[in-house]
Amino acid sequence: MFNRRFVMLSAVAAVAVMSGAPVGAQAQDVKIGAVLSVTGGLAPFAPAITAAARLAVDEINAAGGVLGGRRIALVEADDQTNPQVAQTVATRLVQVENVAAMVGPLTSSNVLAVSQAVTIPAGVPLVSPSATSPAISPLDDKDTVFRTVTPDGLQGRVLARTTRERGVTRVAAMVVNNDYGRGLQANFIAAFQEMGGTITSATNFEENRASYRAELATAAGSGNPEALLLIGYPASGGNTILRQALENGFFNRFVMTDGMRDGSVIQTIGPQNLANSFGTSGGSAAPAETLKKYQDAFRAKNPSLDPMGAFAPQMYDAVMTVALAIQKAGSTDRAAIAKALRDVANGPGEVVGPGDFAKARDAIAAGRKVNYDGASGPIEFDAAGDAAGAIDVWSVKGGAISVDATVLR
Amino acid sequence: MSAEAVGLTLYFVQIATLGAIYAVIALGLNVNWGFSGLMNAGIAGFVAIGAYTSAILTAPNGAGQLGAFGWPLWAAWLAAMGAAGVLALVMGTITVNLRSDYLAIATLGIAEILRLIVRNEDWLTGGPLGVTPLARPFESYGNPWAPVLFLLLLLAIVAVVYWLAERAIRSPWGRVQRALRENEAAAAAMGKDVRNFRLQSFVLGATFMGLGGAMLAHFSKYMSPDVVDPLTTTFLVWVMLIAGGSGNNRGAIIGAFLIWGIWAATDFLTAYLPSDVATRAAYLRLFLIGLALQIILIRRPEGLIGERPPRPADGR
Repeated sequence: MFNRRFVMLSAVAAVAVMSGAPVGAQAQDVKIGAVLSVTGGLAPFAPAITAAARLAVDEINAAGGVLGGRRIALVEADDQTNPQVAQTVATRLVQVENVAAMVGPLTSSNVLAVSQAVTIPAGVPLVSPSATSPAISPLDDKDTVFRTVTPDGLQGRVLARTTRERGVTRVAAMVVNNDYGRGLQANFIAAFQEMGGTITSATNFEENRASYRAELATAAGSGNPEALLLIGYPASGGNTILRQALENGFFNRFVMTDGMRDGSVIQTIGPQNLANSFGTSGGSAAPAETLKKYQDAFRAKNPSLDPMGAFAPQMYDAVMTVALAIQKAGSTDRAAIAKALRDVANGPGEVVGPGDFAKARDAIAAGRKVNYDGASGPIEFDAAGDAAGAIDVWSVKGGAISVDATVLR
Repeated sequence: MSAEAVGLTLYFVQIATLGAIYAVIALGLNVNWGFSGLMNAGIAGFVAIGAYTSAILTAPNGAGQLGAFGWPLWAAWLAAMGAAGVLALVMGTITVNLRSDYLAIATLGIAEILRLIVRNEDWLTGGPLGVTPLARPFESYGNPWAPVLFLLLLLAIVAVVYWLAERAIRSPWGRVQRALRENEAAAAAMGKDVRNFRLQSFVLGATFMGLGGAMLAHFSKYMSPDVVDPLTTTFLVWVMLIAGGSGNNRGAIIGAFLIWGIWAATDFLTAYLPSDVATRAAYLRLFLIGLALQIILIRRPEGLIGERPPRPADGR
C-alpha cells in the first residue's frame, strides 16, 4: 500500500509543479531553450558557456527585449552529456515549454540525436555553440540546424600551418577517441602532410585512464617526433598525458587544440613546462574593440570565469542571433525564426555586435538589414548552417593563456 | 486537446518510450540475475551489439560504415536479438561457469572490448561519428501521432517480452533456474545440467537486451558509441532492477519506468528554484538520486515489489 500511495503522490506532485510557472518567467516572455551539459563529461565547460548565455539574455532584456517589449526567458536544461537524456529534456523544452528556438546541445552526438528526433520534426530552429562534427552539416534538417562554431576543418588546417611555421616537422599524435578528437586529427594530418610534415604515429586514447605511459612510450619511441599533438580535454586525460609525458621525458613540446585551452592545464602542469607549447582554438575574429565590450560585460557579471573559455563567446553569439532573428521574424513562429537567422547574421547590412542589441533591434524594427558580427567572429551562416569563423593561435605566457594570432577563414 | 495538453502528453510519451526500452533491457537482466543469479555487468555490450546490428542492417547509406543492406525493420530487430544471443552463446560457453563476481568481471571486460571495437572499427560502425540517419517506425504520421504510435508498438513489445519471461519463470525451466541460484550443489545433485541451464538463461537474457538495443537505436535515430554509455545502459539498468524488485518481472518493468522518470525527467524541477540555487541544482539532483537509491537499498532491499516465489516448506 505504501508503494502505491507513494507513486500516486509523486505523480500528483509532479503534475502540480509542472502546471505552475517557473520562477521569474511570465506568460508574454519569449522562451529560448538551452540544452546544456551541466553534468557528465562536458561539465568543466558548462559554467562559462552557461554564464555567456545568461549574459546575452540579461543584455537583451536590459535593452528592452524583443517584439515591442517582450522579455527573453532562457529555459535551461541539463542533458548530462548523454544523448537519451538530451532527447528527453529537449522534448520538454519543445513540447512543454514551447520554446521558440533552442541553443545547444553542446556535444555533436547530442546535436545529432536531438535534432533528428526532436527539433527537426517539430521545426524548431537549433543553434549549437560547440558541436564541431562534420556529420552535422549534411543533415536533412529543413534548414533548422545552425552552428556558431566553426566545424573542425578550419582548426585542423590552421594548427597544421602553425606547427610548420614554428619549425616542427615530425609530430606524434595522441587524440581522444571520439568524434571531436578523430575528426580534428584527420583534418590536421591531411593538412600537415600536405605542408611537408610527417606524422610519426597516431594513437587514439580512451578517457579517464589512470596511466597513459604505454601509449606515450610507443609514441615517443617511433620515428623520433619533435612534439606531441594532444587533442583531448584536461580533466579526462589531457592533464594526465601532459604530466606523464614530462615526468618520463617522453615529450617536452606539445601541440594542442581548443579542448586543452583551459586554466587548469597551467595550474596542473606549471607554466614553465609549457613554454614551447602552443595550440589553436575556435577563437574570435571580432575586432579588439567589439571583443572588449563582450569581455568587460562578461567579467563584470562573472569575475571568476574566463570570457574566452571554450565556446562561451559562441554561446553568447548563438543567443544574440536567435534574439535578433525573433525580432526579424516579427513573431515567435519557429519557421519564420529559422528563416530569419541567416538574414540577421550574414552581410551585407548595418554591422552590429556585442552590446549593440538595442541598436540592432531598432534597426530591424525600422526595416533595415543588419549583419551581426559577434564576440566569436563575423557569424556568417553558409548553406549548411555552419558559421565561418576564426581560429586563435595561443600559447602560455606569464602564467596565462595568451592569443598570439587570429586566423580568419 | 489544447496545445499545452498535447505538448505535455508528447513529453510523457517521450519519457515512457525510453522507459519501455529500458523495461525490455531490465527484463533481460532479470532473466540473468533475478532468475538465475548470473551477475551480468556487460549489459552495455549486448545492448550495443543489438543496436549496431539493427542500425547497420537498416541504414540507408554505406558512407563511413558498412551499410545499405536495406533490411526491413522487423527483420533487423530479429537479427539484433540473434546477434546478441550468438554473442552470449560464445561468451557464455567460455565464462558462464564462473562464480557470480568473476562472471561480472568477465562480462564487463567483454563489453569494454566491444565498446573499443565499435569506437575504432570505422569501416564497420562509422567509429565515433556513428551511423545516421536511422528510420523510426510511423515517422510519416508526423507529430503528435508518430511518437504515440511508436510508444504503443514498444509497449506491445514490452508486453510480449513480459509474457515470455513470466512463462519462463513459471515453467519447470524457471524452477530449475531458481534452484541453481539458491543452491547450485543441490540442483546438480538432483541431476540438473548446471552449465547448460545457466547458459540458456544467459542467452535468453542477452536476446532481450539486444532487442532493447535495437529499439534504442531507432528511437535515437542515430547510433554512436555515446548512445550506449555504460553509465546509462549498464549501471542504470541494474539500479532499475534492484529498485523495482529483482526476480520479479513486474518489478523490472516498474523499476525501469520509475528510475528513468526520476533520472531524466526531474531536471525540470530546477526551473522552479530560485536562480542562485538553480545554478547548483543539476549537481544536487544527482546527489538526491544517489540518496534515494541508498534509502531504497537500506529500507527495501527487496525492491519496490520483491520476488514472490512459492513459499518454501520451512516458512521462511
